[in-house]
Amino acid sequence: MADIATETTIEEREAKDIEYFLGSKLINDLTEAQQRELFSTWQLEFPTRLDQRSLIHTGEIIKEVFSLDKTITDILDSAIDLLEKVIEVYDDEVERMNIFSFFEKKINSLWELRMDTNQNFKDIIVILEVAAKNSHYQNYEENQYKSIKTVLEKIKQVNISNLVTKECRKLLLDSGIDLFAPIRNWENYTIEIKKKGESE
Amino acid sequence: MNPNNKLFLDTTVQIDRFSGDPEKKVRIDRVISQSNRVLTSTYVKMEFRRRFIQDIVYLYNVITDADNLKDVFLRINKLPPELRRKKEGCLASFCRFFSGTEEEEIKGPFGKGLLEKAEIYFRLEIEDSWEEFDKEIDEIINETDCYHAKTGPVLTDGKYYNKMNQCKKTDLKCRIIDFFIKNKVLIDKIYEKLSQMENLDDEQQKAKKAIENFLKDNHNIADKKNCWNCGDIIIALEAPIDAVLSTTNVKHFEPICSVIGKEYSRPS
Repeated sequence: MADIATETTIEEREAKDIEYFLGSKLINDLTEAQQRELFSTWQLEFPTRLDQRSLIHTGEIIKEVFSLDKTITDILDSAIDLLEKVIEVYDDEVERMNIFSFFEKKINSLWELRMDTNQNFKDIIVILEVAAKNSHYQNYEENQYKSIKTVLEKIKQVNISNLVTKECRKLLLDSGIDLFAPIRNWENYTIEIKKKGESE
Repeated sequence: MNPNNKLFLDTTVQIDRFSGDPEKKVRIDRVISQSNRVLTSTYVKMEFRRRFIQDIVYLYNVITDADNLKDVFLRINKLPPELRRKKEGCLASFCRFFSGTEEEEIKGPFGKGLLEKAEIYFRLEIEDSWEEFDKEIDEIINETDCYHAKTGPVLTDGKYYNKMNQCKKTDLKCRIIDFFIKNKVLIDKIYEKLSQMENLDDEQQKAKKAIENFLKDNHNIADKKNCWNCGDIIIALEAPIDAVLSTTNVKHFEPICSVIGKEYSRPS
């Protein structure tokens, strides 16, 4: 069961994810001293490898922390955790929707990190956003949440192939998630083009 | 009336499965789930490609050329109203869906991120809708062996190519002539019915003219214009006698089905 404390942790982790990402962009161009200063500004512990026997930090930088893949994988992991919780509380609709809204935020974070991912990964993020937003209109059954979770597990390697994206879309479509939802209301909407300052 | 509980989906229903509003989708899903056997045809698939896929391909190709969504809106706005409505509506519905706001009216400008999402979304939509055409279909009838249903949209140099080459009676690639000859008795009845009707609309007049061309020379029906103008007639003839033809285009199917003894219904 998710409680408020868990959700706060999720928020904090998300903020940290973004910081690490921004850090990874800068850190490649900085000296180690500058890197340490940056981490100190962020009030984060500088990530160095821990000596397992003495339990003292060796000073050797853990490069993986700066990797974008790792940042994305961390977000995917927390998104999977959230979906596990959604499935756990499936019968409690309000709780389910509360937790799922955090999942939607995770998908938005992934989209923000899309620049260094491949096209197939971007494709899946858009499809996951459709699946997440569509939950506002379609009541998902437990197996549909499970399909979304399976998709997240499949894309954890980040540099996914075209075959994996196809497989993921098929999985969502076969579970009955309406990936065509974004255009379904075409008869109700129109576009008006107005010049700037033109009266309503 | 329909002891086998067979359902034949026409083009309007197939298109609504992918782009009809949520209520229409629920109605279609319900009639499909109540049927023992669901059918459609290769000719319906060609029409699905020519109408629905073609609209989405247009949108996708315009989006790939654009620097921002305003460019896309302006390009669509230049089309004649009858060609503009669905494309404009699809893009507006897309923007509304991704805007993350519940407001009825969304004011632009929309960011680059949304344009990037649109490019991805419409590309995948083309691929998925073409592949999912057969979903939940037990049988695709192939009486006409329509050539354009065998090929499909192709992504090349970053754009989708969906042009359907001119069908010519001198370069026959399908069985449309045989199909018309086999069904000549029924086609005569349909022609008689159309001739008796007053106030035929534009589509019905074109269909009547196409039958006249066929009656003059059987091979004329293999000409694209004649064949496409007879679309509703071909689909009604393809639907098996023991199936209910499911359509939202009652106006055009009612006179045809009434003379050839086929049952039709609107998904409800």
